[in-house]
Amino acid sequence: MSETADPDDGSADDTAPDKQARDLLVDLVETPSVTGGEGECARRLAAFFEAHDREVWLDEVGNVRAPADDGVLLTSHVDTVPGDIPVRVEETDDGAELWGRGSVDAKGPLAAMAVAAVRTGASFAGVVGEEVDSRGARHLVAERDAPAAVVNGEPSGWDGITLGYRGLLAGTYVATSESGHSSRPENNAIQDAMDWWDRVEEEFGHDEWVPVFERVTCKPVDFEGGPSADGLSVEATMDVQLRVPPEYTTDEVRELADGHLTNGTVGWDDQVEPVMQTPRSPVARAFRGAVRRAGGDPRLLRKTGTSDMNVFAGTWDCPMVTYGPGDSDLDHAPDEHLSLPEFDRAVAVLEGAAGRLLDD
Amino acid sequence: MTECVECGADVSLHDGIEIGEIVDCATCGAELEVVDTEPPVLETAPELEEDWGE
Repeated sequence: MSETADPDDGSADDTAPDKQARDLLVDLVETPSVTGGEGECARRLAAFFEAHDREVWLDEVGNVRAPADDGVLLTSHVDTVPGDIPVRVEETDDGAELWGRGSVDAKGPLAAMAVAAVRTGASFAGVVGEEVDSRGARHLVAERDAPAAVVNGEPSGWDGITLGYRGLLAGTYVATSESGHSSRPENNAIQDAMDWWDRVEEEFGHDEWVPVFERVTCKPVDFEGGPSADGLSVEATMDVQLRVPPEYTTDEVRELADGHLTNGTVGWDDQVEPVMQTPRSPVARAFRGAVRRAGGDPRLLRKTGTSDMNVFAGTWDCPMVTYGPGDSDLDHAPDEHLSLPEFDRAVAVLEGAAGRLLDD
Repeated sequence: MTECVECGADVSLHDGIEIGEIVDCATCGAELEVVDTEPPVLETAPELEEDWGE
């Protein structure tokens, strides 16, 4: 790490820097953990729990497992997207900032939760693979009993409490047509793909006033089309994603999309159900109270993407929220950085909320 | 007992009310959040905001 500033001197906040938490955060951000290569970072996280006399192990898929009081499970992901951002602390008028890949998404939430877990005795899991297929979270729900409550880690600001995520339906459209002169009027496979997608977009059309969270967002993400290698046919392949609001299940969206096929087929290969939690749950209440006690006004959020909370909610019938410090606009960004005073406040909020939930 | 910040009607609170709890005004139906307990203070509960991404 380049030493442009001392993280312990960087707070413009009126609270003292949380040295233990900041040290763990810097250690984790300095240890690369792009999806599929989380091992070293997971071992560093496990060492933190061992140093605090907590039972901990790495499971079959590489998750860091530190069960304790299941009154609440604090869980965040260890992996990051690729991107080399030199790790450093920079001073600003608003306090110190930690720069580095994963500082926001989601090693800030991960380190804050690990510290809160050892201070309160809450259960903890650091999961792998969130940025690709949520394989760590899927393994966790398949193998572990449901806790009484879950706090999933993702950045939403220290005063933000996320209650909902849209689901995801993804697949690949494939069509073939006989080759022919382009002056002929019949559709070829490329036109069939475009026509199908037009009908799907029309099916899920919406008025402009409808919030994005309540829409089905249709997005083609890759396309290949043209003559086949032998020149006898025209082929079209299109990867598509549809973001699914709680109004629908992914099966319902799939059925509607399939109903507009004329030529071609779709292989649907990823389905994640939407989740929307009540703001009146014990865990949401505990976080509102903790944010207020830390001097903030809580914000309730619903996000248009998808996270591991969708996976947890699909299996575990318990209240849950997503929480974590950081500006989500910096997720995956080349200027990813985290305010350390904000990080400190998030640790305090997590301690307060987890402590309250463990008292119940 | 305290006052609804939306309509001014009395709102009765149960024993052991907590900061962060959401209660309903029986008169106007407003959702109210307990922001202090000694003495009880209510504010309009936060609306759901929309955010991008994960």
